[in-house]
Amino acid sequence: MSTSDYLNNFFLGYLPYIAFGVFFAGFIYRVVKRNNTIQANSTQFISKDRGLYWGSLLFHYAIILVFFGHLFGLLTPKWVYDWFMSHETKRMLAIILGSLSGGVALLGITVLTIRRFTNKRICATSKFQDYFIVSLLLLQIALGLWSTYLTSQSTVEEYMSAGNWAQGVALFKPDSWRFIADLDIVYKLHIVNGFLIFILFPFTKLMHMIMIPIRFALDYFKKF
Amino acid sequence: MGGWRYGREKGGILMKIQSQVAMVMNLDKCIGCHTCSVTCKNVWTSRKGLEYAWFNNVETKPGPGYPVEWENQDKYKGGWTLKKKKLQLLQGHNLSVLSTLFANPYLPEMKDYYEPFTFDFSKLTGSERFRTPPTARPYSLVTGERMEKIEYGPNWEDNLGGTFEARKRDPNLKELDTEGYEAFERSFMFYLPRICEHCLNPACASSCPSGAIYKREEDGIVLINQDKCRGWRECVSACPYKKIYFNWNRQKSEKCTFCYPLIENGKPTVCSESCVGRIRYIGVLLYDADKITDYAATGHDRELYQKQLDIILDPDDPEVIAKAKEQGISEAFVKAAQLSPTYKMMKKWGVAFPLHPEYRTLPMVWYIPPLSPIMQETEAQGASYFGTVDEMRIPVNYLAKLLTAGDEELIRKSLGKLLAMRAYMRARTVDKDDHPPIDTALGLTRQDYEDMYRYLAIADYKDRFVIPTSPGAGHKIDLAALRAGLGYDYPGKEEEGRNLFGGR
Repeated sequence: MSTSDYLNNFFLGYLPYIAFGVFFAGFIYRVVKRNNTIQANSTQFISKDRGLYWGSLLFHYAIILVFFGHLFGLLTPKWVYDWFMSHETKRMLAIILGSLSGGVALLGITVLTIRRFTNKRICATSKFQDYFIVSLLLLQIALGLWSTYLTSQSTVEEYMSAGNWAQGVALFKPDSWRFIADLDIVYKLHIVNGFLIFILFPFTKLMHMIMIPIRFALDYFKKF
Repeated sequence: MGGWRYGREKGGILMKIQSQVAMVMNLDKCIGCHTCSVTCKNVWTSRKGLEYAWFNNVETKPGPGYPVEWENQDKYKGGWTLKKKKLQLLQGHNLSVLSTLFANPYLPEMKDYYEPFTFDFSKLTGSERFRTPPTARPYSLVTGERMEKIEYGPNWEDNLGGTFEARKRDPNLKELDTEGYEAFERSFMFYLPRICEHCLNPACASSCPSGAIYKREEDGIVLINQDKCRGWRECVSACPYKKIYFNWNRQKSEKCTFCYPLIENGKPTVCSESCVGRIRYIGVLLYDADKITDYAATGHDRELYQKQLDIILDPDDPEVIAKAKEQGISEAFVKAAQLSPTYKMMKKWGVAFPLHPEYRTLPMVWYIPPLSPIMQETEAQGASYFGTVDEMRIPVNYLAKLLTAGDEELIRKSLGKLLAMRAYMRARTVDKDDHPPIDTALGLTRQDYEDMYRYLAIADYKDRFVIPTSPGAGHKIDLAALRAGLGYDYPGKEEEGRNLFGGR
């Protein structure tokens, strides 16, 4: 096995399992043992500026779209959409919606990053993780957008290979990494950085996103 | 407590009796000394993240208040409104509340309260000899940087400080004719001490996406479950009284707890205990929890006061007593309700009013409007008290804006009763007349005037505070250890250092 095969095998074949192992163990630990620390760390109160308003709004709404985009693009098996959508259509959809939502998310996170690093009031309450997470997300979204650009320049087969890899990993097929071993390094960096975020997720403020107020939203439909 | 937000039991019992520990403040006697604020501060909010917060604050009215223009609900969207005859948060329905989760346009920011500051005292002791005395300059407690100017504070317009133009930002003055009020001869003021209202229909609880805010059934104290608070900060804007404070360090909301560790042990709150003017009264009310939603949705703002009175039940009514006991309200609470000073002032004598009933939260801290000097010499002796009331320095319409959603007649009547009580006691003690004539139009008996004198003028400790111990109380609490804390454990508590005064 060559060095590059070894690296591909490790980062695209093993890292997903390591990342999700840490993710689930950490997730359970956080929810059970440190539940009351799962919260939004809002800085709106000490600095209610336009940067927060637009940065936060654009980033959050766009990143939710990006999340569902990945869910559909990578993890949805072919038989679900094959009957109404060709692979080419799906690729076009991914490129258009992906670059749109990714672009908006990039704009938002850029504003938030600048705010985090330059606003003295925010710096006064910031911990290391605040700077680190926001930088990591900025990098990840930038890599994601770059990948979308590369996808627009590549073939349908290359596009579909990412889904094959993701679904292969999810179904515990050990050789799935070979699907994307020949793709551009940008895709791989996006993937590795993504798993790094998954590893950090349970131990940082990123956990706030599991506290979706579902019951509160359902109350809207349950008028009493 | 769990059932508070997600619908109460329906049907079965006609009356769902619950008890509320309510407060009345007699504004007539408030001297604006801020002792309540300072003692509260020392006990509860001298911690990092809450330097700017005053669970109890005293503001001079008219004035923009703390936070600035807190009564301006166009700005903050606090409280409730009626939408198709149904109650809805002014902020909107649940989904529109959720839409402001990422950035809440109605959230007051620190600037609206004030930038917390300290002074660089080391400059005073450590400096060389100068020809001019050294000065200690203010530093921000948030950024640690020097502040050029202190812009606002919790009692910024204290004692009519500043110009009338600045005071005019008071939202209560908006629709009043303020022509001439800037003249010294016609200026007026009084103090308004404010704590959390511990509402029967709390908007904060309904706006909390995590369901962390609850109202205790046994004493009606509204608390935030710090384990469930996720820092969404919707409650901060939803509370029309702006009495929920966002801890910028812990990034969770905190509020006045009505000093529940004291209340549970039958003792008054810190602000009441330390009140120099003896203006605060704490007593139990029995109320019908089933009527809250209907009554809070009453059509006209001005009917809300009467409806709120109707929710409060007569503790001497045998039927109410029987029902209360049947529904598990302890003997001690029923007894306390019968002796309650707040019941007397709110319902029996009708001299106290809720603060801004038009917010529809059914607040449970009520106020007796203040008397003020008479502007012109009038022969009011024997004549109608209402004529005298209208000659008073504090305009009745301003008080009505604050306390009765604009119903001036109620304020006139209340002030009239306070004047009549004075006239009655004057006749009794100065003129030695044992049976002075009383004005029956005010609806009070001789015994009522005697009682009013006892409660409002003498205001003995045991009359002011009638607080039953809660069933769980009795175990010893080291109250000094609770000082400057949340009153319970929370993550990071142990790591917090102690300040100069032993607080956290």
